[in-house]
Amino acid sequence: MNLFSFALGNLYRRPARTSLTVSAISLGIAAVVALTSISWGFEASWQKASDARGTDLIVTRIASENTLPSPFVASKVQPTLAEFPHVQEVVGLLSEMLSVSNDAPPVFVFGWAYGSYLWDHLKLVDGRWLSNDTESAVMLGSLAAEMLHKKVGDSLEIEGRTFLVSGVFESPAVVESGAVVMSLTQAQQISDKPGKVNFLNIKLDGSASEADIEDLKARVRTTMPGFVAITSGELVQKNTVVRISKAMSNATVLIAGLVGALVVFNTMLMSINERTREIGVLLALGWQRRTIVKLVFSEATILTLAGGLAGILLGVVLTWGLEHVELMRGKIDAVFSVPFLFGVLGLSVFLGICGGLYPALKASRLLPSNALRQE
Amino acid sequence: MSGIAAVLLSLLATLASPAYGAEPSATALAETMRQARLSNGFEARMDVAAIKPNGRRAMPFKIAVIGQIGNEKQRLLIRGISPDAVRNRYFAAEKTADGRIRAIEYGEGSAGVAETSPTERLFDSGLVVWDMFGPWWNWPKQELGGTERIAGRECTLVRSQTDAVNAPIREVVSCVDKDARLSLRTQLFDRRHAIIRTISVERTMRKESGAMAAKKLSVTDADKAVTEIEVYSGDEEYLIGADTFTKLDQQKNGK
Repeated sequence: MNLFSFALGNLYRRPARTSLTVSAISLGIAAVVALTSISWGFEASWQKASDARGTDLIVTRIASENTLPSPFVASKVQPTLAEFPHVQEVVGLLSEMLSVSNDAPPVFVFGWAYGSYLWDHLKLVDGRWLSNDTESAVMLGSLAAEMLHKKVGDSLEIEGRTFLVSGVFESPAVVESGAVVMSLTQAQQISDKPGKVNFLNIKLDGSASEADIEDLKARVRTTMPGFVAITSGELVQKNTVVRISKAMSNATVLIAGLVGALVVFNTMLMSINERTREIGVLLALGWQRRTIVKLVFSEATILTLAGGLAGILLGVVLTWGLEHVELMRGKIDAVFSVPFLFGVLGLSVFLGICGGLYPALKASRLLPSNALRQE
Repeated sequence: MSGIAAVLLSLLATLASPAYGAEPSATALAETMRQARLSNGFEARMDVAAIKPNGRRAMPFKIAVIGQIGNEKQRLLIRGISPDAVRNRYFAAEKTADGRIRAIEYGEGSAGVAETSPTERLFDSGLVVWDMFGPWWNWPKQELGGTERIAGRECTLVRSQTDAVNAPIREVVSCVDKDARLSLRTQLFDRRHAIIRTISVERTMRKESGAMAAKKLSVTDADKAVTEIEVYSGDEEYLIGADTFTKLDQQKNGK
C-alpha cells in the first residue's frame, strides 16, 4: 500500500466528515468560479460589443463612470473630431436602460446613427433592416425578441410610443443580442434628448498606429474640455458596475480562501487529534517524521482537490443556470478559460496545503511514547 | 441620468444640504438648499407606483418632469408617458413673483387648459406639484432641531414654518445629511401640526458634479398610502425648448 492509498483510506474511514469538508470547499470554489466568470464576462461583453462594431476610440464625458454616461450635444464636438487625422467616421450613440414590457425586466435601448458603420457587424436573421432614419421601427436582438416574446411585425411600446418590430438580428456580443436598437433620431425623440448622445464612436483609417491613437486622445484632452477619448477597454475599466463586480469577485476569492483554509485546518486537526495513538504506532514502527507530514498533506490535498473539482463543476452549472434565469438573461455572458479553471484548482490545493500545515507539523512532532499512552 | 437626481431631489424633497466645516445656521442651510436646486434645465423620468392604505397596488406609471429653477424664474412641466391613463396628460406650474405657485392641467382627457391647485395629487398618487418647488426653504422662519440618524446616516433637523393663514402646509421638518447634501426625510404638517405626508429618500446616486441625489423616494401620506418613485433616466443639462412652457404663458396672458 502506497502513501496515497493510505491517505485515501483514512478519508474513507470518516465519510461524513470528509463529505462535509469537500462540500464546504466546493461551495467556496463554486462561488469563486461563478462570480469571477460573470465579472469577466460582463467586462468582455461590453468590450466585445465595441470591438465587433469596429470602434477604435470612444469620446464621452469625463465624469462618466456609470454604465450610461450623461448625454451631451453631439454637434458641439463631432465636427472637430471629424477633422482630426486618421478619423474615418464619428458616429453618435444614445443608450438607455428601459422597461418595454410588463412581463420582462428592463432592456438596453440603443439609438445608432442610421446608415453608420455601427450596424455593419449585425447579422439579420428575420425581417428587414430599418428603411430610413425616421421610421417608427426597431430592430430586436435575438435574445431580446425571445425575452419580450416579440417577432417581426409585432408592435412594441417604448416610452409611450409604439414601434414596429421590423427585424431580428444576431450579434456576437450578448449585450447587443439582448437589446432593442433603433435609429439615433428615434432614440433622441423618445427620450426627449434632441441632438444628444452618450458616446461618440470613432473609427480610424487602416493606417492609424497606436501612437496615432495616443495622439488623438491627447488632442481631445487639450482641445475639448470636459471630454475624454478612450478605448473600449478603458471605458469598460472605468465602468462602475465592472468595478463593483470585480471587487465582489476579489472579495469572494478572499473569503472563500480563508473559509476553505479554515475548514481544511479544522478537519485535519481533528483527524490528527483522533489518530494520535495511530500516528504513535506508525512512528514506533519506524515511519519517518517527514512521511507523517506527507501523509497529512496528502489527505489535505485529496480533500481540496476533490472539493475544487466539485466546486468548479458546481460553479459552471450555477453560472449556466443564472444565464438562463429570466431576470438575468441577456445580461450575463460568463467567460470561462482553461487557465482560470486550473488556477482555481491550484487555489484549492494551495488552501489544502495552508490548512494542513500546522496539523502536519503537530503530527510529525509527536513522541511515540506519549502518543501510545493516549487513549 | 445622475443629473436627474439633483432635480428630483430639489423637486420632491428640496433636500439638499449645505454645511462644510462649522455647523451652519438654519438660514444658511435653507439658502444652500435653494442654491442646490438651481438649474437652467433638467429632465427626470421616473417610475411611480401608488400603494393604497389597504396594500392594493395601482397600475404603475411613468412620468417625465422637466424643470427650470432659477432665482428669477421657477417652472415645472410634468408629462405622463405611459400607460394610456396618463399618456400625454400635462401639468405645468410656475412660481409667481409674489411667491405663489400657479398650476395648470392640459392634454389628453382635459377640455383645453384648466387652472388646477398646486397642492392637488398628480395622477392619483402622492406626487404633489407644490412639494416639487420646495417653497418652505423660502419661508422666513427656519430653525435647527438637533440631529437624528436615518438608515445609519446622520442628518440635521431643520424646522421651516410659515405664518401664512391660508397655507395648507404650515410647517416642514427636513432631516438633511450634510455630507451627502441631501435631505433624507421631509415631513409636512398642517396648521394643527398634524402630519400630512412624509417624503423619504430610499436610495441615492451620485450626480455628475459628484454630489449625491435621490434615486428612489417614497411619499407616505397620513392615511398610510405610499407612493414609490424611482428615477430611471434623465438629463442634467436639458435644453428647455421654446414651446415647453407655452401653455403656461398663454394661460397667464389670458389667451
